Amino acid sequence: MDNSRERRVESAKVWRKHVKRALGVLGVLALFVTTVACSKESADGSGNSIENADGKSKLAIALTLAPTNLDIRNTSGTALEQVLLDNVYEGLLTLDERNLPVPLLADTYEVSDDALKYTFRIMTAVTFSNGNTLTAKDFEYSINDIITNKLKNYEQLDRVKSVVAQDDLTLTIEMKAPDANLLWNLAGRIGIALDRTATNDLMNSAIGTGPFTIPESGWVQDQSLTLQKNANYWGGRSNERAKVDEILIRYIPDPNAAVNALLSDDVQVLAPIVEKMQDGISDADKERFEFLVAEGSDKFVLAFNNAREPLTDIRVRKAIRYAIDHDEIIAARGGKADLKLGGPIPKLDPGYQDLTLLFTYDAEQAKSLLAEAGYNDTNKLKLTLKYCATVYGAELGSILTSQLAKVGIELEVINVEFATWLQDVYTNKDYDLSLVDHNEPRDFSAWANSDYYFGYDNPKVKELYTNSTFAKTDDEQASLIATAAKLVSQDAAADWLFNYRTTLAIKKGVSGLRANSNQTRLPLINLW
Amino acid sequence: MRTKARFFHINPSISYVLHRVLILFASTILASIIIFTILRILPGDTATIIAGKDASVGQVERLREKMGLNAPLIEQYFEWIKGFFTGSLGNSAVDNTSISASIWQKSLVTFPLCILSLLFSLIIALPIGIMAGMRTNKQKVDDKNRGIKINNFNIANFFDFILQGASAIPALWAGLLILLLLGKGVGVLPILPSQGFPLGGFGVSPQEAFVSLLLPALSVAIIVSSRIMRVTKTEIQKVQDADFIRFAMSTGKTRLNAMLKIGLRASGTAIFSTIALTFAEMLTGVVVVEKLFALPGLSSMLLHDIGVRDLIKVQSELLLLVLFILILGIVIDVISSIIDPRIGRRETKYYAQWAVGGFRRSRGSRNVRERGSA
Repeated sequence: MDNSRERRVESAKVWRKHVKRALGVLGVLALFVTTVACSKESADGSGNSIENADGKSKLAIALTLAPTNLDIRNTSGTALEQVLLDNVYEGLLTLDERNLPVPLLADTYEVSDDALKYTFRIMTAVTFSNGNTLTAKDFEYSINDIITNKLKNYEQLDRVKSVVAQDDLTLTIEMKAPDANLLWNLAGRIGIALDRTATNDLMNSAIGTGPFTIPESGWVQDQSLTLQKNANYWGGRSNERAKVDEILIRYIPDPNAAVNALLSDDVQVLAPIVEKMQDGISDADKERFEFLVAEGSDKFVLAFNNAREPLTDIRVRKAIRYAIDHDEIIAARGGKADLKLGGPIPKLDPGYQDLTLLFTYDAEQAKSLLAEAGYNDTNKLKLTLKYCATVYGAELGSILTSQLAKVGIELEVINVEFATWLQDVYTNKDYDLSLVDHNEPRDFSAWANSDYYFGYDNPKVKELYTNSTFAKTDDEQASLIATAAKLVSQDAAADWLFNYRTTLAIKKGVSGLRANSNQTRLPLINLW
Repeated sequence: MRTKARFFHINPSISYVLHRVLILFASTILASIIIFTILRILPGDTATIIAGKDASVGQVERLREKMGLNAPLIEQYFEWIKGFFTGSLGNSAVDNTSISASIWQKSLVTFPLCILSLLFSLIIALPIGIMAGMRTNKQKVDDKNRGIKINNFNIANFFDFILQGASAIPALWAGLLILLLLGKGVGVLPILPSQGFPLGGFGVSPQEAFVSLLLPALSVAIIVSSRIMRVTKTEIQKVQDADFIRFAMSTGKTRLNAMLKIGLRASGTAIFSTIALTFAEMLTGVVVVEKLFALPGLSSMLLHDIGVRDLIKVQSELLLLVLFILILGIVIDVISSIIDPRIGRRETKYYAQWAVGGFRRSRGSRNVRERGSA
């Protein structure tokens, strides 16, 4: 009896051991199988767009900078205009590839000879994504709402006297004075149509007439935005609908993760890819993608606080400009995409001229200017550079520090986050030098506004700029701005480190993406 | 007075629990005040962020008014704390979406990530820690018996050495290396997703979600496992000369068996609390890994929300975190007393005596000793 009981206990023990081992092996196997199965599953997307199980075509795009929220009426930033304009919202006009205004929801428009009255004929049979029909009344509401509630960019409507819907399809805008920028501005966010009866929360949803809609909870803050094809889209100017059923826009600020997403085909477009990251991609992998350098209006501005000692002294400002070797900076960033920029106007904007020869790198010149201003080895010029190093790259700060040190300027770099920058630099103007990517197109007005954080005040520039806004023709406007821009550059009001041109990485076979100005406007209707 | 006395008289451990809950409540309130105040010291606010770098002063002011940022601080505080304790965290100041929904959503990334990391690190750390702890003693015995060192090298000490080194690796670097090994599209053996998390999470595509957490969890595990390993090693070393191990061996157990069955349990509390604290630390500590693998987790959300000054959201997130860690502390105590009953008894006894002390002062000292030892 005792013996058999013992034996039973023994055999039970042995059994338990076996079962345990078997379970362990099974567990490891199961883990391995699921892993391999999963990796196979998503590696299949070899076509242009990934066909889903439900037969819908999908594409994913990775962008870097996420908009704070979706509120087109209050929230600043081109990241918002980039994804919403022309995709979800549409305006009277839009911008073409050369950044010039062309009609969109306005079928035709007329401008009176004195440029005081604009008449827009609105397209018929256009509906909002909620089903409501678009009429001139919606434009009347949308634009007047901006003026009365002083919403984002209301300054652009300063000279507007009235906006009136004459009938369902006619909108007239009467002006107090001519405004050469009005049409271009109307192609931006002030000219879009919002449904006057809609009550949706603009902060996290959007109702427009565009080729895409944002589904319920399609907006995930700081993560992603889902765009779905608007099946009832009116067709746009070329009478087409979106080619892809669903586009997922992912915001990936980490350059490594972004490239990994591209390489593993989790996204098919990366806009932009950090130039230096391309070196890490193998040649075989590079074959799978197309790399496009796009023109854009990103200006990396080394801002000087023109209103604060010692930068009120033009000799000091000039010395800094002479001390900066732009070639070295551009080479450090990769060297292939960025362009030298000698003044406040990038290539795509009116009034561009090559100003890079005004201040070429000349350390001796810089030193003698500093000596003239009373600085030498015993009385060193000490400056601080306050900027968001995590956003624009810490290497820029260190290059500038070493370049300025060569001419005897001691630069202290202070890394701040964006909110602190807005408070310290932008609002309180408590800084010597700062560094910002001003990526808005046609933003020359900042130099004609002495309240702006640059603190630059030149009556001549102000006058030229004001005249340019009254200009009768585009050429006249461009030449006035060009003259003003040259003055700003000669005054050494800032240093323009480079014109950052984005590099797009697009999976081969994917087409229909507009490269130029993709950081300010990214129409996706033709993406395929 | 009589009811109070009776209460303690009936069950000292209830008073213990009650005491802990009171402390929990007080700490939460204190933490809420600290969090609220410190966040208000930060420069800038949501309105300036939304208005951006082309805003006029008037625009910022109007936004501030609209968002209720101009309300008196005291009022803002009480509104928040009332909402917090009644379970309504409100909406984000930035995009007006539900705060509790997004915390829940992000938790479903971070908690599985941390649990998985912990699992991995236990698999790595416990066997090595135990082996390393035991081997040293064996060597000592060998040395004493034979007067010579026979073998300096053993596999556990080797892993011990490797893990010590691993603890010095920055998370970012470990992650990058692991990506180069196993990351899809970039790695030598490209089998695991290199970044991202499926949009629907575990609810929609659990398999995909699980797989996308493997590499991040592994990189966290490599780093944290060394700490768990070290604690295990020292604890094992501490108990292996204890009498109860010798007694256990006298019943016929091998040394290893005795250590695993009895030694591990005796040193279990220290190991367990290290594990639990590591877990708490991970919740916000995995931020680098979350960034590298583009995972939409709690810590990257917290960082983002601080960046855009969504203070309403940040303060709730932080306070929930505080609450979680405080509750974790209680859980650690309870579980520790289960692992090692000596601790629980000591604790409750202390509180019982404390409670009875109060009773004695008011009612005299009748039967105190009996109750104290009950």
